Amino acid sequence: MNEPVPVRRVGDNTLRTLTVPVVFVPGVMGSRLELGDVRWDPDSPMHMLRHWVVASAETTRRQLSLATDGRVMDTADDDVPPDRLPRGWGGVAWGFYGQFLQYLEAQRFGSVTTPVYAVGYDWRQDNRTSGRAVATRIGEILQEQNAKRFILVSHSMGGLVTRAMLKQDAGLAAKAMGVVHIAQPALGAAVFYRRMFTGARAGPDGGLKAAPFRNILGTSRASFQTILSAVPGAMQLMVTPQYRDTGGKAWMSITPFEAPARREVEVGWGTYLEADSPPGILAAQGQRHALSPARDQDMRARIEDARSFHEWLGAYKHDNTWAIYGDGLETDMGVGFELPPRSSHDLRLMMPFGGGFGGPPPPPTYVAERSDGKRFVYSDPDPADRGLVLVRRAEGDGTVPAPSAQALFPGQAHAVAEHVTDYEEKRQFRVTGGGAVHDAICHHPECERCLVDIMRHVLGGPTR
Amino acid sequence: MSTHKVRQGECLETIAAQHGWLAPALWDQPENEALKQQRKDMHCLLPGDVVQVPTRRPRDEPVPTDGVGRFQLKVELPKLRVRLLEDTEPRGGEAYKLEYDDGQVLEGSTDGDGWVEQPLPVGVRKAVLLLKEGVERYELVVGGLDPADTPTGAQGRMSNLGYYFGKVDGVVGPMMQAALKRFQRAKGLEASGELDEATADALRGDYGG
Repeated sequence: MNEPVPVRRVGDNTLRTLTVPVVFVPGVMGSRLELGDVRWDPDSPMHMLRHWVVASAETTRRQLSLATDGRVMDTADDDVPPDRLPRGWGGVAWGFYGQFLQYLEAQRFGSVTTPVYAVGYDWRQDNRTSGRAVATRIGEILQEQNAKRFILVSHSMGGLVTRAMLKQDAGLAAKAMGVVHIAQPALGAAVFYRRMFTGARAGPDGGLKAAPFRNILGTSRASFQTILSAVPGAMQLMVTPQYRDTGGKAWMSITPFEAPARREVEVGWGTYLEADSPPGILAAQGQRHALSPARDQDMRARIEDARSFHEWLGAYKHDNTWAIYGDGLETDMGVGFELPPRSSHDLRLMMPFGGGFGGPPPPPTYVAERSDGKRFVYSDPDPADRGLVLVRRAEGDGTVPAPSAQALFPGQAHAVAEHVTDYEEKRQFRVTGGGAVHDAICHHPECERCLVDIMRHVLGGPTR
Repeated sequence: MSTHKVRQGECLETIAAQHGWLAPALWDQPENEALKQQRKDMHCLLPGDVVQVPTRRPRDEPVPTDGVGRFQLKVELPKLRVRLLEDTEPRGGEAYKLEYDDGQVLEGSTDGDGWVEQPLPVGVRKAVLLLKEGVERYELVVGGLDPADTPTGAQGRMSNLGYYFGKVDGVVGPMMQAALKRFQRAKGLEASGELDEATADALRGDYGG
């Protein structure tokens, strides 16, 4: 039901009606999927616990394998109101997006009707493939609503999916009145590369409450790589060669033990496959942290997929694009490596003392002193993380660093100002504070206000 | 002579009917000249406007004895006229249902230019317009539209034309100004965000009055 329409009793009146579906496309892991016998369903903690949290990396990998057909869930036994099921709300994780979808649904735009649809997709597959699936669904939506045009809203990786869709489908792109990307890792996320060495780690990857989620992602280098090597879509979140840390600086640095001079690395797609790790992500075959040959090959193929995807997509964006991103939260901006010594001769074993009173002896530790005088202590002489040093600063949304989220409109970081912003000129908006955190940013009040104001501009404005 | 202060939802038709006048005759009374100059359109008054209602004058009509005198009052029932557009295209030949708050339900189809035109009893204040078998539902507030040069009147017109998306409350704030700018740009006027005479005229032009 729209707002009441005041009309003249005598004389002519005009009612210009318009139906513009609002199509929301979620981020990676934000769609609920049926994968053969199991479901990816963040709304069902029991199911997640039983089938994902306690699963081994190989099991998770098998469950995510594209060998199993995925189907976006369109039924729900949870909080999705039954009348919303036909509009796809059951297909996205309600815990992430429910509040946001309900907010959008409650907005009124005079005589313009804006039914809100959620379009889940199989986030495991290449984002171009997902883009085609979303395009098909939008075609159905337009038909269902007898509408000619739509507004597109994406969160996170949904930004890559929708840009891929619009680039592939000029016909559909012409029907997009406005496109709003929220928290898009346009140039990837450094945290993704970092986990290739650390796995999901307590601390930078959340506290105790995030432990189940870390278990799903893999808490070690090998488990994270094993799982991700099966998931082309997620692998396209790798940092692209266009990414720079704040101020245009290189985002990766390596300091060898033997010649301790910090070397900045210019990272291209080939860098990830270099034999030396780092900067290569794969430990060489035969080394302790190497993946099995089959997984190693899979990972190489995924990197090639990601390269192919990003080289094809480039800096493409739809003409009527706006972006909203979060900032001010501790985020992985890049990585540094203080490499351990190559030779065990440089390591001194510190024999553990104590362990008395019947307790087990503490684990041995190794100490290495670098020629610049810096001293390193290792519990493992060959650490999986290769001496990774976190590079985290409050310049992102906790997951996506601001320079990546800003990439569609470099340098634009406007404050949200409802009703007074010139949206033709200003295209990119920055929101801050705890609510700007990547997974929750959609229902950050400023993000919501900004999005709805952009919608007013689009629905009543020049792109109509 | 009495006066009638206009309340929301009233228009000259309802006021005239209430006092036993016909609207055009009442509008043409010299006592209403000032109001006529201000509002120009008798079908669009503002709540608070004062309509002068002169006492009705008796009129003599000769009638022959033993003959039958036939007097006919010529009253045309006003019609509700709403033109439906889908964006910029008329929604021609579209079936609709119109539910008046007096219980009357009318059905019909828009003409080729998208017009809904139905007789409208004077007492009706609200009408629900149903399109696409009820999928689209618009609550029409009959007589609720104020003159185009008033804030509420501009908001109502801009809302119905798809430029303003807030409540019709007469508040001239940033939301109203943003809508005025959108409308002014669309009409090639200076995007001042002010409701000036040129903007009010353009609104009347697009809206139909």
